[in-house]
Amino acid sequence: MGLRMAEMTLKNGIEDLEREIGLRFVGNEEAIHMLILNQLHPLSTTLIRAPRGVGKSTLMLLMLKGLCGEDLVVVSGASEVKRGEVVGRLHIPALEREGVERVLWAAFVKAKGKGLDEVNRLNPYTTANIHHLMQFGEVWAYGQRTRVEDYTLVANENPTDPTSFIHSPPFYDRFDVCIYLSSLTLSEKFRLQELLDKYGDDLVESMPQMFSFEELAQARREVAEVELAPDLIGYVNLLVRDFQACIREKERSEIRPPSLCEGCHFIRDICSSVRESLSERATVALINLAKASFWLYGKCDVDDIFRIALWVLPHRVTLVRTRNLLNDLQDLLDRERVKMEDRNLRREWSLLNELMKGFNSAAYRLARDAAVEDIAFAEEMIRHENKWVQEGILRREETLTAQMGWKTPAQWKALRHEPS
Amino acid sequence: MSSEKFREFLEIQSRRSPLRITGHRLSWEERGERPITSESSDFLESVYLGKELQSTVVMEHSVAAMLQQRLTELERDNERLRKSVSRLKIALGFVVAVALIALWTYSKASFVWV
Repeated sequence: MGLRMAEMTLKNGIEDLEREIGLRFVGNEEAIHMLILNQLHPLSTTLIRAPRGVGKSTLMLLMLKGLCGEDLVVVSGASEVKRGEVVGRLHIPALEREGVERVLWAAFVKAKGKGLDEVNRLNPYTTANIHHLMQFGEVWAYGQRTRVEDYTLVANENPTDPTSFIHSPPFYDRFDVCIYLSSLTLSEKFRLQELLDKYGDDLVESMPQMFSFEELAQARREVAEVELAPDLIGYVNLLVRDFQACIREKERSEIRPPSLCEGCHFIRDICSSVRESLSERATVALINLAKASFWLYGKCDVDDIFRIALWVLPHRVTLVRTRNLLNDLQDLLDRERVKMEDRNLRREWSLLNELMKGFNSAAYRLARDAAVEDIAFAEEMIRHENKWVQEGILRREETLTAQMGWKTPAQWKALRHEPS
Repeated sequence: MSSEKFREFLEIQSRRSPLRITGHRLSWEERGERPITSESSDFLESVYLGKELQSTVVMEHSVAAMLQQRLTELERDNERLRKSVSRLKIALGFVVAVALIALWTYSKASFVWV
């Protein structure tokens, strides 16, 4: 009973946090909602992208203040950042008196709330240190290492800023979500003016800390314990796989789409619109957010996954042609949703389930027809075909690989180990 | 070797869309199809736009008259074609009979010559 009460209090606290931010930040409700949801797992990292003056720094500060109170440090790319301010510096008296290199770790390393203002302007050395912190949960200085405890990191950038450093895709991949803010509509501008009249310069200062970081850590532990239904995990994995899969192995190819896709059987599929595939971190982020949604609202279905995906993919995926990234991505996600329904209509997973129990010629014929239109399914079929060839159930020339000219790394291995 | 969760995913999907396997035959029932309702529908839309007919069809007098006229024309065409077919049948029978007589006459003549 007590535990249930504590859980309810935590959930109420999270909802109160969203409300308090909403009282101080106008518009962009969906983005704020996703920002809150992304705080519910350990070592949370969020990137806010917006043009200048839309409120990305304000939103970052409101979130950090609401979660960590005064225990927050913001490193700004707009000012000169030295290594000692981000990672650590030598303790000079100890060095002079004792000849010992003792490191004073920077407040940024120790703070629970970490802010990165104007990430696009951060110099590459600072970025490399932060990248290491996000990747390994530790920092190094003067040959010494310290572990970084659980934190929440919110960064912001203006991607159209001409005075930018170009950071590497793996660095951006470390951010769980990337939320885009839009400028305010006419009515929202009126609301903003009312807010400014009410709070003046104290907009961020007036933001209360909604709960202690220990309570947030408790919420994060509870979210981590949520078990998602296998079919929901299946949809997440399918979505990511469809943004990765390429029958011509674009991950290893020297040529990239669209040149790589010329004459490909899947030219009209989602894969041909994606230049750089997603990393597996996208799956981790989607699962974390699905768990958070389930914990907070008691539900997360396939439509929720597609809504969340719009904020998990933009900084991870590179499209062949981009006019408006979010719109283009939404179009691809809509197509992906239709594709998932098409898979259900074709009974692909029921057929695969039958075939996993044992070879059945009728199921195999239908599964082959489906595989010709679906790479993710074809990959699974090819794996099973290899097994059936080895067992003597199928001949190599009868397989999808032989007839469609498709090869996967698994296929190369099978060919290598097959006696000639 | 596949993960337990993956198998569970396939099992759940299979339960949702079950297959019927009898020997080498495989079938399933389509669910979620739009049931035919008792609402009325426009006949021409179903003809020209391929829309599904409901249990009641509503049409204007002019459409009904057009259909009636079209049906009469089709019946007339049908009658004309039936007559043509009959005539062709008679002609074919005559041709076959002539061919048989010619064959019989030729074979008899050949026998006399030998």
